Amino acid sequence: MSNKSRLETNNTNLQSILSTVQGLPNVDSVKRGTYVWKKLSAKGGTFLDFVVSDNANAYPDGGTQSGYWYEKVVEGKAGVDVVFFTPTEDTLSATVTHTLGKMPSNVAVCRVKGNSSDYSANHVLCAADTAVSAYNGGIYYGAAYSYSSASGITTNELSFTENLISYASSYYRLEAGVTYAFIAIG
Amino acid sequence: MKAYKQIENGVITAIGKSTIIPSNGVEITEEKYDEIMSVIQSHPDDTLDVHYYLSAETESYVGRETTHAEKVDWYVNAVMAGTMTIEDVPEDYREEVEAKQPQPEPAKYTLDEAADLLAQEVNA
Repeated sequence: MSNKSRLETNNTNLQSILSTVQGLPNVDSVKRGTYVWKKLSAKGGTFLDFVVSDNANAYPDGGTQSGYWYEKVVEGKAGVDVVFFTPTEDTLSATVTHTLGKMPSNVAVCRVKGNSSDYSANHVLCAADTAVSAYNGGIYYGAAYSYSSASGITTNELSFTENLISYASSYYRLEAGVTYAFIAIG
Repeated sequence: MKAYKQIENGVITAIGKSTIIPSNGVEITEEKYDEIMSVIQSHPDDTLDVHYYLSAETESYVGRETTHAEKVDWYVNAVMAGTMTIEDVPEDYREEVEAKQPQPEPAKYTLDEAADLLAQEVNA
């Protein structure tokens, strides 16, 4: 792949990440349910959203419903729990309690609400189990990105147990006054 | 969801909302949550010499003198944010600050190699 193509691909990825971050849920619109499905535009198509329900048969597992393709994220009892956390001081670590009662299959920490428009420096934008941060030669940016294409890759900054999600970083802070969603998916 | 605050050593470290109250949390009303959130939103910026914490007693920010470790962190942040260089850091702190700086990814190309690649792209 040429450098030009690589730049174009990176730009497309960044646009996609921006769109994802802007679409993060706020306090009043969090989905809750026991079962989780991935919603795709079509079989093998574009990922659109996660949907949840307490009804195990609300959506097909590997099938089409109302024009969209659904795949159940995990078999059996599953769930999503979201904990909102607002530090009073900038902090490099935080631990919250989730209610899945089992090891989550995925966890993420994303900033969802705050009066700061400064996503730069060492304030975390979004971290997932593939958490990385980009370095531009002077400033570190927190972001959700993939291991394969990001620069300045860091080690995983999230850990979890059957009832806890912990964030710990050497450099990337959770910002005072910003509300973070700690998300556990069962 | 239940609203809660977390207190450690007389300091409110965080507020939150969750299905259950964490073991180190104290349940609060929605009104109290909003009230504390409003105080947090006006969190004063720390300086090299003063660190602000949210007092559990007064529920307002109080300044105290920074510790050595906090001063090191302050310099680390300043260097990372580019507001000062490592050379600007006082000698007493420089070694510790340098040790805490993240290491950037090694450059894949030298400047000459990168220039050659760009020239090839332009001419392609």
